[in-house]
Amino acid sequence: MSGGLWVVGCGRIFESIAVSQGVFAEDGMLHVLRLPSTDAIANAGLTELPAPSSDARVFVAVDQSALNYARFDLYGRLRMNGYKFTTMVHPAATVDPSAQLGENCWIGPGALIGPSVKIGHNTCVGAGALVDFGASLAANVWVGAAARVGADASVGTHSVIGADVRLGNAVSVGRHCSIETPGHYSQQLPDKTYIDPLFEGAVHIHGGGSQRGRARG
Amino acid sequence: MRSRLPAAAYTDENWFARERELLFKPLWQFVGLRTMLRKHNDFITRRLCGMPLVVQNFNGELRAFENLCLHRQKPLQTASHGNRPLVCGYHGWGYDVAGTPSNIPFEREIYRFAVDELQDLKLRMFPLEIVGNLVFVKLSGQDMALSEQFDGAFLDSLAEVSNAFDDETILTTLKLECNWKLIYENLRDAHHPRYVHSQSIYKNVKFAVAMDEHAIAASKNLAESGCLDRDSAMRALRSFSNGGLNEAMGSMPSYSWHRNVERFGSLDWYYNWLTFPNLHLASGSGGYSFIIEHHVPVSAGRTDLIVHYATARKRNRYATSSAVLYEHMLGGMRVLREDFRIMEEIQAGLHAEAPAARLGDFEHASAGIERWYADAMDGTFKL
Repeated sequence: MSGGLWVVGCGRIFESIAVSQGVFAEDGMLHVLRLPSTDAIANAGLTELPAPSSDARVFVAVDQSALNYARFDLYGRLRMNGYKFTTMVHPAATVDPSAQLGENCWIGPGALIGPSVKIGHNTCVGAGALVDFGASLAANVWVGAAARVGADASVGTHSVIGADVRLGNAVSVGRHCSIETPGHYSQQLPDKTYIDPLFEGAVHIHGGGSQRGRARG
Repeated sequence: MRSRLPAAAYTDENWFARERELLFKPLWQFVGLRTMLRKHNDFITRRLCGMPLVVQNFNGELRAFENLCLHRQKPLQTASHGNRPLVCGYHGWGYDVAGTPSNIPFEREIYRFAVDELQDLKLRMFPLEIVGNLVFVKLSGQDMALSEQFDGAFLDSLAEVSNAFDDETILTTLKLECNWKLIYENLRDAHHPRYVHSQSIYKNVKFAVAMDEHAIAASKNLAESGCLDRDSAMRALRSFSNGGLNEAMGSMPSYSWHRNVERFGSLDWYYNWLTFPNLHLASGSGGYSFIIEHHVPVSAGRTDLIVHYATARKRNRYATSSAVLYEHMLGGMRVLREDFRIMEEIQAGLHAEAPAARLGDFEHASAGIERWYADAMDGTFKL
């Protein structure tokens, strides 16, 4: 693989990187590989991507889709094939030096990552979002634009915290949740909680060996 | 032709009350999925025709009871579904498969029921039938076999498709501000998708009106002559429920999760089953997944819609299954909202002097059903 940074994906994060390549590639070696859509990820051949090498890094830029499994699918395949990843922090974001970021994370412009925050692999934090002191985001999480994750709050793997959603301090959001209705949430949200303006009431998953979820309302 | 149904059929609460007694209660109604009732003590609760129901698994036997404790009328099960013995949370009365109290704590010490009073204690039980993974109940009326209401081939088709459902199911309830009949008329209308769903499902499935001249003539005959007796009424009733292959899909999307399920059939078609009076099944994915829509009339102007999604049976468990179901629910909700925005607009516009609907030949099925419905409502035949 030739050196430099390869950005692979589609969607808003991908395009925002693609249009301002100079901002992200310190040595000017930034290549983009645009996929037609998230639906194309499963069957994407990725033949344009050079073989893995020690001096090159990949960033998978795929927006939230199917509880982040679309991004995870591509990230996981490339990781299994030996590619090395980078995390991308927009120059207009602020990340406290004590924060720990995993690989293939995106920290959008204006985002603020507070002290002692832990962010797992393949997690995206949108523009203007705040992840406050001591909060933790698991792997494969999405935090939307202008969302707030309160101090010491936690978000489980594959969960989506939508734009303008505000999680109170120490609130725990389980795994595989999707909170898309803007507002303040001060109570714990168990695994598989789905809150979306499209749904009037509770959304449940029954069976499949899963823990039953519940939603507000 | 002019519709037989005045606006009152959609808006009047007295009309709705008669409809419940004369139509819904005597008919077999879908109540829930057997996949949610697999294990001992699994239960679902629903409210059909105002009747609070619990369907409970007793060591593999499903029973439908009125969901009220015989002691102080507290609902026995309070969640929409779950796994819990049939026990009242107020004073601990427990019930067995026959609906009789199997345990009344401190009965001898403080209740002191007479022997005949004890023998009289039994929950109201309702007939229950299972077709594949679909559970039906009947609330009142004459003894009527399920096969009187549904054609045998249709029941076989329902069993076959519902047996393809996976146990993992996502569900939610929509509270719609419209009469249940508007929803059914819309489901029978193959002409609206090009206008209402032009930016969603119609992009890939070009629903077309089937101008079946034989069916049109039969429906017109029913609309003009009506039902002469109960036998002819039941024959007509059996023709109201049908389904299977509906329309070829323009393209068949391929998703990685498809490899993890046993596809129903092998055709890249849209499947559709309309089960009169309260169930609609469809597969917009060529048999990889299914929507199960349970319509529950609540009042003249309100219908609850319990929406379930299930994929076809899993070959093996896979990590993304809940995400797959959630995405189905999100996508399905967008299409359903396109329909229900219009249903609710129609309902809101109806008033006592509103003109009756004008039906074209392509709406022949609705015209025939209207006549059957009118005959049921005025007592020409009794279900």
